[in-house]
Amino acid sequence: MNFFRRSPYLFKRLCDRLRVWKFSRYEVVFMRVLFAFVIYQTMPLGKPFSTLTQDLFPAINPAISSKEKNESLRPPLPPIVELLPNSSQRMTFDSQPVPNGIAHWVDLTFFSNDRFVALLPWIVIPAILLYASGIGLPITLPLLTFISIGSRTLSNSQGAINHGFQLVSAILLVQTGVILFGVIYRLIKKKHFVDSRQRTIRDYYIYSTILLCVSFYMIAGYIKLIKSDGEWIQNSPYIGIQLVKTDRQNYYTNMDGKHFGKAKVRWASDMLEHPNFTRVFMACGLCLELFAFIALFGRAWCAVTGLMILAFHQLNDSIMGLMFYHNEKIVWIFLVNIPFWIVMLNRRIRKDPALIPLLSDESEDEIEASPA
Amino acid sequence: MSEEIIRNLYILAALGLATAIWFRHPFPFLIAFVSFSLAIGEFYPFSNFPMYSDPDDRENYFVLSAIPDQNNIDQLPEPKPGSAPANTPYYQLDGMICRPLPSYPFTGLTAPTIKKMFKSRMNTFAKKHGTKRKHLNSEQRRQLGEKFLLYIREESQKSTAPRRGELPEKLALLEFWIEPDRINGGFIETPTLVAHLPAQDQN
Repeated sequence: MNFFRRSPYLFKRLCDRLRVWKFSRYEVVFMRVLFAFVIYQTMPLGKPFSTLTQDLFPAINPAISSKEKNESLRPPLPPIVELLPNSSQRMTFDSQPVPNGIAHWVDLTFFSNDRFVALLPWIVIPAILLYASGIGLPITLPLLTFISIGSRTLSNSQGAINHGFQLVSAILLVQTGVILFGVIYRLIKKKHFVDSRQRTIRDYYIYSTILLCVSFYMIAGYIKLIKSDGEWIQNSPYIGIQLVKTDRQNYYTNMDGKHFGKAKVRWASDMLEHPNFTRVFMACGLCLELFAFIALFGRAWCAVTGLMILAFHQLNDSIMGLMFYHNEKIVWIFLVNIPFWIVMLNRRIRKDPALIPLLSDESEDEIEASPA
Repeated sequence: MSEEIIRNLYILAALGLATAIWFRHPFPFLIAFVSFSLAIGEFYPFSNFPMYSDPDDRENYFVLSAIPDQNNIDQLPEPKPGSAPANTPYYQLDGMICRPLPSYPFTGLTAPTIKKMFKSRMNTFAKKHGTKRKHLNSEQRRQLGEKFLLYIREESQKSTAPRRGELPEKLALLEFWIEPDRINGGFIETPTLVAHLPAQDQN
């Protein structure tokens, strides 16, 4: 009874906790610079940008020459080659045989045009530099969003959907939406957007990015319940067969007989032989996806959920060969947010009076207000 | 997903968006975005991430193969014991020797991409003919497979990936089905020939 009497109060507290957080300037700068780096890595600039690091610093080649060396920082970080400032390969598609997204209405094959590919770095690199420095976001963000969505839509219109770049494009789209909202608000109201809790557009555009990251994992969880008619956990031991398929596909990609293509595929038979253990194990991953929104309860929840998602990705990589390195980098940048925790720890060591309980929503405001 | 579920997801997305705007709270926007993405499916950059969402007791993959000259069969390495792909340099299917190729150095496409591409072509073809992909007969699959091999040959010319060589003149597309071996444990992998080039009517 006590619970029901208190429920409106609890509901109000929960709603307050799930509101937009305040972000310090240093956090926003770190996030923007690091995300600009990820955007650069996903841009289809081709040569010389796609092999820039190896061409400029050949000494790096021994460190990425084998799978073992390349993954020497893993866990917790992605492979070394994924951390280098190299762009993606250029687009080479001159048709859209299976149109996806905006390719239903727009011919995007100009992304493969030699002259456009030659022009692309002159547009992308200045735009990324401006984005990283936070200058001209209402112009640079729509530009980067269009290039990211357009080029990857063309790639996905070849009949093979690749989900590796989706989060980067979706974040750019959402950030564009928030920034343009701020511009329109300023034009109409003749003042900068500030909500009733003193949150600005800067807070909204970082918070919306975190919200989007969380939503991507929730989507992947809820689709499992919908498509399997709620029987996903029951059928999860059959993932063992998927492991064999993934191993065979990895083998036939490069015929790497050292790592793939063997008679016994690690974990595959075990999954079918120990179905209940597999169900418990898989249910943990599914629950993480379904309840990823707990990241929005506060900074500490966000960091812990981020670390759990990273562990989930690394397990997926080592067991199933599923690699989502850009997603991992984004989780590090926006959910784990190491600069915030370094500053927090530094202030705790210096016994800063601004230090208040980690889970309090007000903590970030006070930290920002306190002298550096 | 049924039409009814999709319609309900769109309604939920609209309600979530309205609630987010009305109460000026971000959380209903999360519900709206999740529902909208689930409903719209694959529409870049939106997706409902259907991979591994409905585990089944059968799974398949596709392999690009060369068809060596029948006179040169003796030059191929002997298969080692065991049915693993790494121990099987070639398969004899429909009276033809098929020697699997590493897809990436020859075409710039990974094996999962080859599967996704061929699957989407089968889906489009099946939808056009008012049927489902799994109900396509071997003749329809052969025709689609031949067109697909021609497309791959064309794409391989444009690939910027590090190349090991040109695709051979005679090509084949193999399909492998994996099923659990309920008697002996482990798995059974069964290969079949989908299509080959030069096409059957060109032979």
